Amino acid sequence: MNDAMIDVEGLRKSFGKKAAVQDVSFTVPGGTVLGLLGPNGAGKTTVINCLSTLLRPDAGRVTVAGHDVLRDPAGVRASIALTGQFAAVDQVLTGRQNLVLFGRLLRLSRREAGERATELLSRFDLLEAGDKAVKEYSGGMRRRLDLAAALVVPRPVLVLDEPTTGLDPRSRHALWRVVRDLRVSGTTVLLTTQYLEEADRLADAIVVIDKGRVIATGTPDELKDKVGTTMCEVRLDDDAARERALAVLRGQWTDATESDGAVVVPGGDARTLTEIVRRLADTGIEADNVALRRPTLDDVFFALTGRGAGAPGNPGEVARAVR
Amino acid sequence: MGTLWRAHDELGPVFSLKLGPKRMVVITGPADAQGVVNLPESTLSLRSVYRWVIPMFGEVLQAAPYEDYVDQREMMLPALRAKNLPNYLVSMVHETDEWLASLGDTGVFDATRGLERLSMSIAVRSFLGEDFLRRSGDYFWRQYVDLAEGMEILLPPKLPLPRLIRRDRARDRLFTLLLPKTAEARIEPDPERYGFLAHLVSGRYADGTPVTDEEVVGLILSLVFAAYETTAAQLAWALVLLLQHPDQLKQVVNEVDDAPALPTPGSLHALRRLQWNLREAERLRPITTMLWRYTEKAYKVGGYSVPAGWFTVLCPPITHRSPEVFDSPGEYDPDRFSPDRDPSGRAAATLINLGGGQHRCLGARFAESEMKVVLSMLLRSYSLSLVEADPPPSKKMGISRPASPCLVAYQRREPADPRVTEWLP
Repeated sequence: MNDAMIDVEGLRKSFGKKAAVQDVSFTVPGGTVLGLLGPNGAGKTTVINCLSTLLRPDAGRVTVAGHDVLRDPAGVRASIALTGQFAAVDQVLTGRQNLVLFGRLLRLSRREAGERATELLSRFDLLEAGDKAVKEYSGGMRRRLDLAAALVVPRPVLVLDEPTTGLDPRSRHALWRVVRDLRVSGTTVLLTTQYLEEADRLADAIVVIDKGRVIATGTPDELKDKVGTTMCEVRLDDDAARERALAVLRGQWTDATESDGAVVVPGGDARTLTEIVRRLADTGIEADNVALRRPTLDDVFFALTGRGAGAPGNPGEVARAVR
Repeated sequence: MGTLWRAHDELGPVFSLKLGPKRMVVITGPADAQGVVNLPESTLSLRSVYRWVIPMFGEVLQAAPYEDYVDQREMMLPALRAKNLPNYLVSMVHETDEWLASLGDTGVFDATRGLERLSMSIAVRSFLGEDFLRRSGDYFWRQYVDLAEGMEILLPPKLPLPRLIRRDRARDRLFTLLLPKTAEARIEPDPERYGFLAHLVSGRYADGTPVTDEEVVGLILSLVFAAYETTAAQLAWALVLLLQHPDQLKQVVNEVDDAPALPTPGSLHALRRLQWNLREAERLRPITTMLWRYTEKAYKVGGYSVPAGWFTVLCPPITHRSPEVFDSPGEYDPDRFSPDRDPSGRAAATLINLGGGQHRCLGARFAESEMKVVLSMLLRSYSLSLVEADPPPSKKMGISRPASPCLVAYQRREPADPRVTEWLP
């Protein structure tokens, strides 16, 4: 399963005069996870809608499991599991009743639908809650059931559009575990997210899009290497102190930036760190914490776009959400 | 209907008419109609006005003695509980899906006949099981058409008319077909396999007597009668009215486009605008144009005394256009049922097309789900338009429906919404 399960080449889609996606290309080999990363409005959902035949591309070639979205849309749809799109979980029914109903609607026999429901409930850690009405589920349980519903009929490709938005950390980790298991069992996963940590934890490869264009591709490590292998981070909770520190440090390191309550100097080593502390001490600034660390995808996004990955113009929002 | 409207306009909301040697009182005012619908069986009875069903189904339901009728209604309840709705949804979705597949990309269908056939398939599959539908559905349908064409309210039941002879032959064939099925279902009452039938065979009367095989078959045949033609006709009118009102159509299409492709009870319930449109279709084009009762005991209504021995008749099309309850009653205005405009639910409660009181239609929820499934799947797949701008009602006896052919032109939408089966590997 090393052939491309998803192949997107020169994809373009406009709504009226506004181009939502321009010249987007990427490939997802079978059995891998691709993270499609970008802020709100970057065009992630448009890409997914073209890929799942809900939108017609204006130009470009898109194939899923070898089926062309324009020439063989039925083949594409039969290859993709998409959460919430065609099967939405019913609040009044139990988790099991939901899964059995979807299985039956998709023409599994009653026995098959029942077995499938049990298998999915167990895989998504919902066996115990299976006979409770969904309205009694927590947010995380709901999200896992949504995912189970999308997988009632097994498919080679799973598309997850922001699967953990709004979940608490525990639920988020539980869902990540499920995605990793699916990958191990050979499912190809395309995942969109605003959360850098999520892409970092799950994805074999990442495509960063911004304003409808691909601005970077690579493995999480490759992307991080683009901003250097290390960074020196100076935490300063006081805003005024941080601004002064930034001005001071830019005197020597012109690429120093401010990000989420800290001043960051790309690159460097232990000696750089000492040097930074000395310079700050000379001007009477006392840092809350100074550390040498590996760059995060947040740094990558910052380096690529000059702003954070959250809402445009609101740098750092997402990084906070992740931490 | 013309006579009734004229009498209503001249004489007011309660009036009497001569019907041969018999007399009838017609009650059209909303409050009076509600009051009458709730009168007890000892005052207004059904049995003597439903003798006509006996040659078709035997002495069951309305034609049975009152106590048996009540027990038989009771026997139907388990099958109609909300928890069984998901099973029926599966039948509705699959049969609709198959019908849509048969339509292809573009063409014209007859809303009257096409929806009747679809509704029959859904009814047969729900009441007798998928296996029965696949093996015997076509034969059942042919016989059933003869049975239904033999519906005769006025003439003596044994008159040797070809139509009535065909009816009797069809009834015998249907009983021959269904009696062994009933015996099978008794051995293994599996609702998945036998549908409604599996629930019915375990029915008992209040004194503990089990329901007989003949009664079960009679009940199933009456259920099919009550389910398919009525639902299909109401659905056809709803479709016609929607297509005549593009502004509403557009909003309904947006609503169903946003709903998930695989329906659940909850997702159907959430189709509020579609629901208001269905209500408005029931209001303006109720398929039941008259509800008949026999006056066993004199009662008072609207300042008059109705003597025993008269027929009492309710008239949904007139009551549904009462200006006391409905502003601009002749206008198609589904929003009148929205919570904003009808916070107390009075408008919906005025509708009497599904009967009321102890005789209220048991299958109302089933029918509503079916109408929502069929319309939403149809609208997701096709752009539709009426070939004739204003299809006339049929002149046939029985329920009100658009005259066949009521042609609807269709064109697959782009990008086409996937049919349910297309999601399969």
